[in-house]
Amino acid sequence: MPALSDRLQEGALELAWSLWAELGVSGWRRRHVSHAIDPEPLILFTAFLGDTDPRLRDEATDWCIGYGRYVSAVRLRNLLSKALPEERRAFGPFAATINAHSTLRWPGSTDPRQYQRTGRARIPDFARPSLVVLRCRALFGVGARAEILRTYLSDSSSSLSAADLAHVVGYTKRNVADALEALKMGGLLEVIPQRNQLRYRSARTSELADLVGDLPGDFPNWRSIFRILETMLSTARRTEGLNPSVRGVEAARALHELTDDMRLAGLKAPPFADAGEAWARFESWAVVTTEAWASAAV
Amino acid sequence: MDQGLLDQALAILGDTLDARGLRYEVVAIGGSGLMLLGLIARPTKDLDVVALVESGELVSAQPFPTPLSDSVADVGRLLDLDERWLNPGPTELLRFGLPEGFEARLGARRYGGLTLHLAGRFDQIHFKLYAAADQATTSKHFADLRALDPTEEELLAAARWSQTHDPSEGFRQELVRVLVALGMDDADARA
Repeated sequence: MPALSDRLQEGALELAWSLWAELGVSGWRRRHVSHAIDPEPLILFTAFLGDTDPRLRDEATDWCIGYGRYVSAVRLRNLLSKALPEERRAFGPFAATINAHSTLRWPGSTDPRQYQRTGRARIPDFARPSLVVLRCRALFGVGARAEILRTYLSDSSSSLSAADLAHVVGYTKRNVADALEALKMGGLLEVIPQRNQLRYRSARTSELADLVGDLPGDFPNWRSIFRILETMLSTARRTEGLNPSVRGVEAARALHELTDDMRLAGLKAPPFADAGEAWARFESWAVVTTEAWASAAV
Repeated sequence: MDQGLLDQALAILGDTLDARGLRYEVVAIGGSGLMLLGLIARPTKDLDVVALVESGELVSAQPFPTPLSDSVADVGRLLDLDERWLNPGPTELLRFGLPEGFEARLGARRYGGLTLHLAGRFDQIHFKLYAAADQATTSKHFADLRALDPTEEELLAAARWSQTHDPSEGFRQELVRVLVALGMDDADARA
């Protein structure tokens, strides 16, 4: 049987290819047609996968050069500040390569790699339901405003504070507060004072939905999903060759670190009834979870 | 924790430290230390560390180095133990002074990246007498002390050491009460 890291990597690549295919990168089956794609977390995740699939890396780079104006450098910076060290390291050359071949100035760049543009990544528009995030940006500009609106599109009954939204959308609380005020002034949101907090909810849900167009069925929390995948993959790679007890300890640690992300991704940790079986349970849970995400089954 | 679970936890902690490229030496006392020596059998909550050994010297274990406390917590999560199942509990004993010759009586056990030095029976009598005088004859410390079956000479040595930590008359009275409860009827005159 292949090593766990190989199996997880295969699933992670399959997932990344499918999501990039939604964005217009050619050569892969689109499985996530009804899942909203979130570009910045996907870009960081693709950089993390790095050289494990040079073609994916280059096609993603090509897309970023072509459509990078719809990607938020501010959001990339905010997400990078909370990224795993491996992810930050891997993003350096990825960002540098994009900066070297465009007018973009992405944060965290180090040295560019050798790269020849293919120009194959093309998408006529953002009409696909899965591209609602990019469509919002095309309509409302790249910034906190677009991310806030797509949050309310994903759940029109939400009543959220600026702090809640800042956590969800990956912008600072100040950016989010400014955008909320503008959206309230524009009549798209209404504010409800609750104890010592202001909470915002959508005031014109149907008009907003009509304007934005077809919505996907799911708005997965990709940031959390990718963090879980990265942690599982790192744990599998780091512990290869160690005894099952130590692998069990590392699995328990990984799951502990992922508590918040698992909650946000709607995922339950595997039960560790017996310490001796912990690694085996983690292994099968990690494979099943990765395959489910890769095949768009959840 | 019973002895089997504690041994398992220490073995996994040692392997984990080893895999993480870490090495620590800790000095343990208390009920779990006695259990590892086979001197008592009651289940315990944690293993108390009185000191770390660094470059051959005993140094305060308070606080644990972060990589050690993280590793302890990780093993605890795996085995469903408290995240501080190995902890720097009674490190003030190091500050106030350990019994004379304490280091020479330590017994070492190696578990991968962890070396565990266990206080010997003679020193444990000191610690248990001190704790029993502090917490009365109904405490687990008194029960442990009785299980150690100390001689009068051992108890007197422990009593003298205990009074260096608390020279108050009130503490002495408690000490005498414990010694009498252990069968030393003339403790008031000798302690």
